[in-house]
Amino acid sequence: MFSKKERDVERRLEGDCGVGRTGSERLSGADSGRRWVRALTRGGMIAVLLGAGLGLTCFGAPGGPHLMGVPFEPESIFTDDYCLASSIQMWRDYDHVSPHQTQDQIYQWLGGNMLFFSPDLAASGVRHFTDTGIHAIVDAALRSDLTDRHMFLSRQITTVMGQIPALVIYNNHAVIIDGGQWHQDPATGLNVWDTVAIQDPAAFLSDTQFSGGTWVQLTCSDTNGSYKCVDVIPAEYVAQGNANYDSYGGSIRVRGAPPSI
Amino acid sequence: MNRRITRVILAAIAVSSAARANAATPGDRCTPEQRKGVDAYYAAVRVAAGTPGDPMYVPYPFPTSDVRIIADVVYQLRDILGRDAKLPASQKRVLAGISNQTLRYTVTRVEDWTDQACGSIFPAEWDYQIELFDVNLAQKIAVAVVSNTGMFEGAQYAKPGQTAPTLAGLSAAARRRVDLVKPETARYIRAEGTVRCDMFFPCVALDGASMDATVIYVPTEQAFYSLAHGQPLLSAATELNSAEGLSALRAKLGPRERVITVDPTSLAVLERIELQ
Repeated sequence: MFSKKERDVERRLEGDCGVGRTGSERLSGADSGRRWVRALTRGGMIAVLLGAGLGLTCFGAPGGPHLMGVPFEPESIFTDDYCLASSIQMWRDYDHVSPHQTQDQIYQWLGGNMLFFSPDLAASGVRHFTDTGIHAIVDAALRSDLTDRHMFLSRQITTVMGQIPALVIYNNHAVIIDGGQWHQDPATGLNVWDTVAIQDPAAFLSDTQFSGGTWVQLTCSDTNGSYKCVDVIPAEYVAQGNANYDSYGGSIRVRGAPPSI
Repeated sequence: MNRRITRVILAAIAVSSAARANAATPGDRCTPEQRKGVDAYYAAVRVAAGTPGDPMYVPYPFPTSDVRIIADVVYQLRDILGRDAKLPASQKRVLAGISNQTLRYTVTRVEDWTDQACGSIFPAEWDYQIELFDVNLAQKIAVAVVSNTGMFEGAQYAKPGQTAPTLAGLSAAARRRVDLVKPETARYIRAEGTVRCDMFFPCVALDGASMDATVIYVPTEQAFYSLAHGQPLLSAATELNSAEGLSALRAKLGPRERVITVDPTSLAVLERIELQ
């Protein structure tokens, strides 16, 4: 017997975008799917899969931004680093879970004192406080392995395709993905991943937008220095994300990034 | 230190175009291998310069004047926002302002102390932050950031009715709390660690020959920190790249201490200071 939460997730995995909140149209699947498969098998790049996903499922036609509408909840206390509590609160509010939980309540549940926090703690908090993240897991990639990184991005994008907010951890910071944008270049036929929309608890303003290249660099690059290629997504999206990676491949470009990434 | 820090002249941060053009490129912060990646990226930017529509195309690669920086950001915002009529209000009014030429732009250079400075996917040895003001509303409505190549990194948009703090406003807030620092240089910086110094609201680093520490102003906390000169640096790769490293670092820090990246590979400890 599945709970309502589980049925919701299952519906989204099956591509029932009727539960989505953007109201954006869904492309008729087969043709666009074949187009993406053809396009993606040319090279080795994948960061793409946002574009691929957008083309195939709930985000509809090229363009954007395609936003899920995650409510912006800035962290209430910067000095104690409430970014994780704030991110979980945004996910919970997106799910319309009652009763409302304050950041303090979430912060205390997480154990307080979070100048540093572990991804496991983040996943635990998402499982406890959200609806669509009830089966959330820590997902990660080896930054030195290009394929592993690309598959990680595929799983992340597939989650967002399913209208579920991924909680992304980078630089000891937590943010929530709220959507993205892509286009097909008429001259080259390239499918270009333009932007990622996030809600950043540390921001003064809502509606933060990064170019695709910046997003990959910030959150999943191969440079030394920070804890990267880590997010929290529902376990249900792992298999589908990997399958998407196997299906889609290469003529995707990421705005602001060279073809070889 | 507190006695010497009696006034911050953050207005000096308004770096001129000439100063930007003459500023040293911090290329030596990258390892030789990282430098190869950055140079390859730069070569790709130059190749794309001849191909409008390319995902790496900008009208003026490596801009050194405000006019060209603004031209680059306007081109890219129009390209990104102009693709769909279903923009949220916060972005629609930016696109309208560009089209109607009712925006005013201010350009500020931001130094990059993160590992993105030496990245191969999207390096940013330094950033240009462009604040967009609606001349009719007389208020800031968005902030965009491009890298030293002119490539669009990101933007934040204010919803109608939402107040967007300006860099000048943040500086004024700092001035109210500090009597005097005698900085010879005042730079906006972007860094990582346990303070927030991001590309949209960077911190301010104040330095001077008479100062035995760099003073860092963190706008999200409205707090000042001391970055002692000559302190042993920590490895960002070791300390921030694993749960074990994070945990060990956490155990070492006192309640008034934070860590911050000071270059693409190193971390330093900051100590909060009270400026009355």
